[in-house]
Amino acid sequence: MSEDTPDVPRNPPPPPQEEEKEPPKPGLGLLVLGILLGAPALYALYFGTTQGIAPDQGYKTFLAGPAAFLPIAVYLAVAVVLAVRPRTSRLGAGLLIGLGIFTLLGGGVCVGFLAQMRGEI
Amino acid sequence: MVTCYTLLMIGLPFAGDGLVHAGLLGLGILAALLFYAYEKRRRGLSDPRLWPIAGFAIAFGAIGSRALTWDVSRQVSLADWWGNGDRSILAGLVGAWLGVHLGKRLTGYREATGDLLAPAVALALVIGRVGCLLTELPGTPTGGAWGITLTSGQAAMLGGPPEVGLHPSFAYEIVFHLAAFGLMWRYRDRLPRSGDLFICYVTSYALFRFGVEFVRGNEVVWLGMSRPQWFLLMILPLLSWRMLRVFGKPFRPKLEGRVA
Repeated sequence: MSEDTPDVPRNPPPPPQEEEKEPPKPGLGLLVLGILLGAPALYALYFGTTQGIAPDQGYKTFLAGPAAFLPIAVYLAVAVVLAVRPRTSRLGAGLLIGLGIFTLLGGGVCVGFLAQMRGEI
Repeated sequence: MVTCYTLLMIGLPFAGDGLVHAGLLGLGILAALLFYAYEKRRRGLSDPRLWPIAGFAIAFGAIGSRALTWDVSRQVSLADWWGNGDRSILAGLVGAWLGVHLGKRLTGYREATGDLLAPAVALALVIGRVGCLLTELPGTPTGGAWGITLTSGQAAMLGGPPEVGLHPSFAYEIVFHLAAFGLMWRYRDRLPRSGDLFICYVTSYALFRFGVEFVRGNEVVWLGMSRPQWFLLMILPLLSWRMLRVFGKPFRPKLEGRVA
């Protein structure tokens, strides 16, 4: 009794391999997260601090004089490092956009006000 | 005649309202980001470094708009200037340009990005300038009936003459950026080299802005010209040279596919 079966090829071709899947592209979620975290964080820091320099609050602030620019400089440095690293580039991009929004949309008033306070505190 | 003139006089509804100005500026940035995402997709550009480069442009453009206008001759500290000094679109564009170059250098991205950024910038300025039009000193007095008039309170706040029709210089600028956006939309795939669109846009804006400064009402510093005009006089030769390079090459036919 032969095992040959004409309908079935002796050496069937290998099953088609799964098509090479491209690595999933990162979405815009981290970018949006960076914007939503960055700009409000800067606003909270600077508006919170300017409230603290009211005379009846006893000038409770550490961001007087040139130190007012310190958070922006640190924030910018962190955002640049994150933006340059491939794995965190979208978060870094979002943080950079957040800094731009904060600076353009009126955050400069708070920073400038704090920076002028050196001689008064 | 007097009645017609009075009816045509336009007021300034939100003089000095920082919230309106900031809101429209924010809308402009949002529109620019959405257009950038759309155009990136249309061109089939999926390089992950393009978003950080956009981030560099916005962050350094914002910083530049405040810091690069710092006038040391006025004996004002940078901190004071940051809070209360002038802001400038031109300084912002220079800052954004520096930011893009820094971003490209740090991420190692070599391709031109100007074609991607230029229409987005124009769109942002169309919307952002509406904020300026509604809140800022419009311009110098005009004899035309289309002038914007300030009440005495608004004039005192903004430093302009009351009850006189003033050139709506921001409206002129809105029309310019709208036209530029339309032209860039039409010809965005037809210029000889990648990046030429940005050169054409910036050069034409520099020329337009030089002219509109005569009715803007900015402080005249020397020979009847304002600081922006002197700045533009310095960079226009460089931009003109770049324009000659753009139009020295034949236009490429309209491409159906995706072009970087």
